[in-house]
Amino acid sequence: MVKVIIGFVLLVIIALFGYRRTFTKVHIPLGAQYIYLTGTEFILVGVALGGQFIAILDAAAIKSLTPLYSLCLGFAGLLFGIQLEFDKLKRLPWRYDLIVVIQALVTGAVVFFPCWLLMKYAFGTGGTPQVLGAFVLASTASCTGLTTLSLLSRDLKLRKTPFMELLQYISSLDSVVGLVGVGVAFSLMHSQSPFGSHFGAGILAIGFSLVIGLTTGFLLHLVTQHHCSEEELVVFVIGMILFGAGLAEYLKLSPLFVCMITGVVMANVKGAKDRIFYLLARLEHPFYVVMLILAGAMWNIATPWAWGFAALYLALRFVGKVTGGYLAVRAVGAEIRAPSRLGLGLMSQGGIAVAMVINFSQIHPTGYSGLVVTAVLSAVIINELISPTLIRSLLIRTGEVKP
Amino acid sequence: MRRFIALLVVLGFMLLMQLDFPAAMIYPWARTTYSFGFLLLAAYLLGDVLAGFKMPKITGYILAGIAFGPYVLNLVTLESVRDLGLIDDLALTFIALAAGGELRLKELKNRKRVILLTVAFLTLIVFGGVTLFMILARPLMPFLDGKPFIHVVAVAAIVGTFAVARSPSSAIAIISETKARGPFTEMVLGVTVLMDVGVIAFFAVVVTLCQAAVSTSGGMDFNLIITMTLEIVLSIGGGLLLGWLMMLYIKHIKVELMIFIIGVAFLTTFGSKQFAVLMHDQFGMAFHLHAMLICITAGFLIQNYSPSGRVFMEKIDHASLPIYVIFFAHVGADLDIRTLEATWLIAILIVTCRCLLIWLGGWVGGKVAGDSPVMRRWSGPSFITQAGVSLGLAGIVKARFPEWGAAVATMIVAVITLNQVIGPVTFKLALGAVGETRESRQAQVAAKLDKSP
Repeated sequence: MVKVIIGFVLLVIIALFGYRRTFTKVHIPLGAQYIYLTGTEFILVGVALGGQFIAILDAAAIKSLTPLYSLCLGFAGLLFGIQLEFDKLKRLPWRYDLIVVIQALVTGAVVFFPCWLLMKYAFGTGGTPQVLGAFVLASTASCTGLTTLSLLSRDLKLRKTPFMELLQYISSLDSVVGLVGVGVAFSLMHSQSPFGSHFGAGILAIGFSLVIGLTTGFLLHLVTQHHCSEEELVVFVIGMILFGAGLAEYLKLSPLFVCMITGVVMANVKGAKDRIFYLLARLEHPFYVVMLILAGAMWNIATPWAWGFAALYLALRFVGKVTGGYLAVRAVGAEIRAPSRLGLGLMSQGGIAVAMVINFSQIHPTGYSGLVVTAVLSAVIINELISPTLIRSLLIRTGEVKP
Repeated sequence: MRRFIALLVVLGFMLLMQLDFPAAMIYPWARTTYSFGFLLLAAYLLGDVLAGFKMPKITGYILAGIAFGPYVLNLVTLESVRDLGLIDDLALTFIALAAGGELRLKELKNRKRVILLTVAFLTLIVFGGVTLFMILARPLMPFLDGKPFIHVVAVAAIVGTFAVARSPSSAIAIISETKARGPFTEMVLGVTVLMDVGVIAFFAVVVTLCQAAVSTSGGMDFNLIITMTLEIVLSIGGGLLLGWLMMLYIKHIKVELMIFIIGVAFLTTFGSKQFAVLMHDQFGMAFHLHAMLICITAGFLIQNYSPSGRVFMEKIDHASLPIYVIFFAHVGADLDIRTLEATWLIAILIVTCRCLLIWLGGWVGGKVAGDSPVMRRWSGPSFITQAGVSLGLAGIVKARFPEWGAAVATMIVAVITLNQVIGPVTFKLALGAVGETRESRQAQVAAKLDKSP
């Protein structure tokens, strides 16, 4: 009962604070303002509704809401994938892509090895799965959220400024590295296939991911290409996401990766891609909010030592982004004008990282998955708090914003 | 053709999923997710095919659910159907909000006389007629062999009560699909909602009387009447409170209305269930709040007592198609078609008798109220569908009459299955015949334009 009351009070406080922030002109720090604008506070709403407080979304409810979780994950994957139109990506110099890949890989590497060693030796969570845990942490660390950058760009009235454009390009694309990494890693965890136990089971699982993603992509194209009303489009998109994401999850693959492939197919064939993109964009906010609430609900915040691990993850990601940004800028040389502290502008972590951690926690719920959830969700909140200030100071240094 | 190919490919995947995958390779909880996606796609595609034959799409959704569900092809397992129960409840409350929102007080007032008289005659004629028919059909019910005549009367009265029940969810889905609008549509919706509430109270009275009649002690237990009346009153009260809170939200906060409506549907479903658990655990009582009634009341309040009715209905309309598809596909999958194996003859006879009596009740009601000939002719066929509430009440019969309750419940489920398939077709025909579907309205306009010089 006490938990319910605490949870309810927490919910009311968040709601009232959010309401005041949204509907009145209360001056609060930049980071806190953006927390509300990006919707990150809904993670806390999820915590309040979860098993530790109000218990509306307790463990049993979370299990029964598996389709909703999968829908959110598939939605995030599809939305991301449908923006990967090869023709548009080719318009910018290849060095931009090099920056994206280098900073993401370096960040991933900086986070992966210490986390893996710590999980293996300090927490004693032995076996192959801990590699996956560390890999998920690395993949989430490599992701950069676009929302904060877009909001800042709007608020600071930055149009066609080269550095802001570069930051936006990186953040819109670098999640590919993490998503592909998670997709491949989930597949390689398989040691069995319908044909029994064999060495190639992991490779076969990658094949399954590709087949499901490509087939659902072409099916979606097939049913939406001609004579498809808005209402029908909703049914087909949601149905195909649930079907593809569900098949992926059932086979312990990544629905994010599979639906990203579906999206990539849609983006690169002529058909209803623009209509689907606008539909997804229209539904993005509600889905994002639901996903954050669900993520919060599965977050067990009551493990004190997990917070220490979360602090380490946060620090490693910070170091990874700064180092990755520095090395990427060095690698492309003078061709692209970017400050060596580029990584400071890429701290916001965004929704894909939250989706990845939900996916991991659902399909591989081991003793350390709570650790991974705490690390990523707390980092998402803190990064969302600090990133606007960091980006702003970086933009001042580059001269794109006046002090 | 393209959509048919898509349906075949999706079906192919579902057949592949029937392979025996090693346990370590699968995450079994996700079976519900892809089954959900499959049902949504297959049901819509099948509904689309049937629409080509002028059939209602929801018949296609229901048939897809029956065909691919656990009792025929078993592509969607019984476990998945049960897991989808929460989504189903959520959809039902959402549909209930839409049903309440479709009830416009001004138009209902205009049609008050027709609505009340139709309700009265439908109840009297259908209940009386089906009860009499059941008494005469005793030889077709082997579970009553050797039982005293009073048991036959009790079974007959209970089946008669079920015959009165109808389905607001099916009605609202057909109205939404055909974009029907007009006095006939308002009358049908008004009658359906009123009877949906009334049947719960009527059922409580009949079951109480029947229990007293068949019990050896002869005493009458009024608990069921009191409990069910309280349930209705509290549900309507809860609906008024919910509607008022929703009105405040729409007026003052407005943001993310769609999430808010879905959240309300979820909380109402969850709250009603938790309330029932609480009453059972704390007081040992079987006391439920009817989520559907709560939401119908809330929707009605918002539509008629706030300026936000139009915005509210627009939001609901945007999200309605996938909700109807999955709800009716789930209804189909959940219908135990095997019940027809044992009871098909009596079920077909009851359905035929009920259809004729409903037609008669609708016609007499319309005639006495002075309704137009075309409307009173098509009034009856609009009231055939049955679903959720009836299935819930069948469970109570099973529990209250251990001697023959299970057999009666099976028979009732078989009747509901048939009515659920026939009802949408006849209702769509009726709406078209009275000229209130969008298609018929457009045809009327086109005909007028053709005649004008």
